[in-house]
Amino acid sequence: VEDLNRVPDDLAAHLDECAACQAWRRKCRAVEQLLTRLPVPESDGLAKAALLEKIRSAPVQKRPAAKPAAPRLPSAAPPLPEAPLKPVAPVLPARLNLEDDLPKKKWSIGKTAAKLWPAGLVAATLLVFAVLYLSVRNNQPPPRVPSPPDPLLDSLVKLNVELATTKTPVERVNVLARVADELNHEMREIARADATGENMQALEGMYRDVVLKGLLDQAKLVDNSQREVVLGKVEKSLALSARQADEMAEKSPQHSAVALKDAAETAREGTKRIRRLIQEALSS
Amino acid sequence: MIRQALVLLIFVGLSALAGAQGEKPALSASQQQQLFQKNRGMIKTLVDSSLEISQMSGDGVQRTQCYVKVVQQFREELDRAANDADPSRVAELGKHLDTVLRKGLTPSLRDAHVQIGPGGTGVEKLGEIRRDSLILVDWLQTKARDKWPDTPEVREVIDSLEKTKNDLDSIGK
Repeated sequence: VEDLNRVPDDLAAHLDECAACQAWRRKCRAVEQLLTRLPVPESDGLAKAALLEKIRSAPVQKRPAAKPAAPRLPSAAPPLPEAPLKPVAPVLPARLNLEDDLPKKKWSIGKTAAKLWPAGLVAATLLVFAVLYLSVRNNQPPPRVPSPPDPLLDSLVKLNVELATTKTPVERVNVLARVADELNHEMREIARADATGENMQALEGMYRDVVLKGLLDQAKLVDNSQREVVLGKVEKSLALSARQADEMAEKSPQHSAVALKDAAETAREGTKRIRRLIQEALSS
Repeated sequence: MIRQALVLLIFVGLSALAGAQGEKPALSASQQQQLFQKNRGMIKTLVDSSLEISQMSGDGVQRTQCYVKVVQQFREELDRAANDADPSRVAELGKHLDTVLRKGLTPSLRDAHVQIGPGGTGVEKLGEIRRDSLILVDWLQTKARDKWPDTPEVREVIDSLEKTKNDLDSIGK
């Protein structure tokens, strides 16, 4: 069709009914109007006449009914004209959008899904890995909570090796008095947490041995001239331990209170015997 | 005004952080009770050994025998902790065992050697204890390197055991 305003009747009838073709006609008109605005290079008209004559004289080739395959480019393409083309400034209006005239495409779930399948595949893979990781992690045992160091054990190790270097009864009395203090203190600390009282009884037994055997045995070996000073401190320390054990016994469950009262009694007995040793030294 | 409040807030936050780092977290009664339950055997051995040592402080040979029992008890507990894969307890007991070896057993062995003299009665027994102790330290170091968790505390124990080995090795020479 050379002129868009003069179309054959059968085509005009089709155009009246087909919205897509109407859109294409509008698009072609717009292109024609814009083409007229392009600057035309100066010409004597001979080249145009030669080109038209060549087109008209060429034999008409019928297009195949169906395309079996995509057309291939000819192996020997005609050479491009060597004359440089003049640059042409664009004259298209900035806001012109030819696609606006075309009928709008309908949104389809299938087409959208077909476009987005790689992203879907990645998301599905991540989901599978997340589920696997969570299930594996839940099967693992919970991480072990590090147990804090035991202050009583630490103190007793230090006091034990300190005893190895002691040379005199005075040094040994001082170390053993600290061992007794540590044990008495531990009893007061765990009194309310010991459910059966078994640990309290074990501690009370150790405390009694340290005070009435170890400490008193060494106290007897302290020289009379040093007893008042050295053993006086131990006497006060034992008296304080007895009071503290009694106080804690009032706030503790029955099984722990018994052990604490026994420990208080041991401390009082130790105090009494230490005082006697001091008095012996003073009276001699 | 807002800037001053922010500066004050940051200062208070930093002070609280510094204060918290300076103090060890106190143990609850329940935690101490659990620790005593766990360490009761070692605590009893240490108390008994302290009483024995105080009675025989002048006798290096008997004191050495006494420390052999303590070392044995700690070794068993340490092995148990290592089998339970408890790194903090392994480091704690490893440190204590090293202390007992270096500051308890080694000076006692040295005193015993001096008391007995080079050809005295019981010197062979002391030599045996020294060799056994060196084997124990080697075993501990190997175990610490190969089996125990690689933590700074364990590495410290390994280094400290090396000093203990050198001290033990120098006895009687």
